[in-house]
Amino acid sequence: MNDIIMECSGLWKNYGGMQALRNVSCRIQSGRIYGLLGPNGSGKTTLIKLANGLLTPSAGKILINGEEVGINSRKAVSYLPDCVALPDWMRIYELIKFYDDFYEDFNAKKAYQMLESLNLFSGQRFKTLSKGNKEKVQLILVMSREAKLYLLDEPMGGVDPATRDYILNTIITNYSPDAAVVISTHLISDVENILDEVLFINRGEIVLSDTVDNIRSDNGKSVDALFREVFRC
Amino acid sequence: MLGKLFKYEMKATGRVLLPAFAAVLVMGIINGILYMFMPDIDAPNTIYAMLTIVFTVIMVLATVAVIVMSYVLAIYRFQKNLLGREGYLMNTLPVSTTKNILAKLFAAVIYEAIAIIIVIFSYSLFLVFIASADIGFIELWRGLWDVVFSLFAEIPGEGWIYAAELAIMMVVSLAYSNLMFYAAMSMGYSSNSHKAIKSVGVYVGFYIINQILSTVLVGSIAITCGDFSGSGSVHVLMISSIIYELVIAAAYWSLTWFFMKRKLNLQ
Repeated sequence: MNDIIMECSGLWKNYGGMQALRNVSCRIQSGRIYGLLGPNGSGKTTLIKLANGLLTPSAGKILINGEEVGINSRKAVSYLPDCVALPDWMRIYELIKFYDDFYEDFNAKKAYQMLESLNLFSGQRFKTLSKGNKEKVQLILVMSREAKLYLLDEPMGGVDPATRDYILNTIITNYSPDAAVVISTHLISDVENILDEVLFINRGEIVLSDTVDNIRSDNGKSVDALFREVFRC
Repeated sequence: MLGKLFKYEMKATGRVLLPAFAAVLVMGIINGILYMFMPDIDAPNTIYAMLTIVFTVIMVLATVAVIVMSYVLAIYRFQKNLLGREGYLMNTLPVSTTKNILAKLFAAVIYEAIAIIIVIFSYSLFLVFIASADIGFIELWRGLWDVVFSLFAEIPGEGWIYAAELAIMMVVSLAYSNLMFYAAMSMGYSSNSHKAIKSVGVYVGFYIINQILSTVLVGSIAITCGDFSGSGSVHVLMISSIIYELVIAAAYWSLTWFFMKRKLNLQ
């Protein structure tokens, strides 16, 4: 249950002269839900993109399931980007077929069930959906995989509170219990109750890594309150 | 997995290009019919003549547009699907970089080749319709292609070798020109800023290098063969061009692969 599914050691990422990540080291264990918490521009998305091979590290390394980022790591990771990345010319059922074609662990039946619960018609063309519904369809596809690691980048960014509840519910009811989930967000009060552990990231560095229970008992305050204190402007 | 990637790529490009191909063919038929029933010069019909001119212009523009479109779409698909937002999906699929690039390349070459064939086909239809006012349409259609094939067959001894060399050269040229775009884009988009402008800059650089290298190549062949009058020299020129383009295409392929695999920068 507590295998290391993702491990970063001495990870650096520079964009020209700007350091987006500075010597980041962390371990993500299976069976836990992590909150990757930090203000805008702190390096959350950069870290997740590095884990997906969308960026290449300037130094250090990142291992997924014991291997460097590549075809095998992509089989293990289900990634939700911070923007809508699905081809908009496809219809929803074609997107489901697309995922089914490429991911062995994709459960199409589960995807259709979730669509039905949202009253979304699978024959609808993706580009005709509202922004919120596009994000929901993308989340449904990502959470219909039985992956070992879910990397969810701002899954609730820019959606209304009711949709946030739906998204959180979708995440906690669909991930495999022996998988790890990393949720990157700055909407801490919304996710706090489902997190096991948190990683506070600021200016490209991990400034705190602990369990939610420890944070509450050691500091006598919620993760949200601690975040506001640590990242006070 | 390559087959699946290729299938989706063909579908994504085909939904735009196939209607355009159909439109070009229809324009060939419409123009052919218009010319076929053109009134005699002794009894001119101004409206009919104007209509014919308008449709002829549309046909010429449509045929140019479909060729240009097949190239522009290939570039657009590579940028949007691998280096734009959709890249977050495509570059995290459990497939190799090689397969992702190959699927794009195969689809681009196939559609660009079809575009050329469709344009030739459309003008052939047009010509046959015009001439079929006097002779039957089917007979003329057969006759036209019989003439084309016999031309190759009748070139002393080697007509089909020329045809094969031309066909190979066309496919290699298409692959080569697409890979030149891919290499420029994958290099330009690996930078942190002004990605599109840098891609254009790299492309211009590649173009200049190509011009220098191809001039050197033609010069070397001219010196070696003396002149281009003999059929042997033509073969040497064509085969040399194919080899040259294959070598340069391999270099562009390597650059594309390296930058997509090792320098991907989807900020």
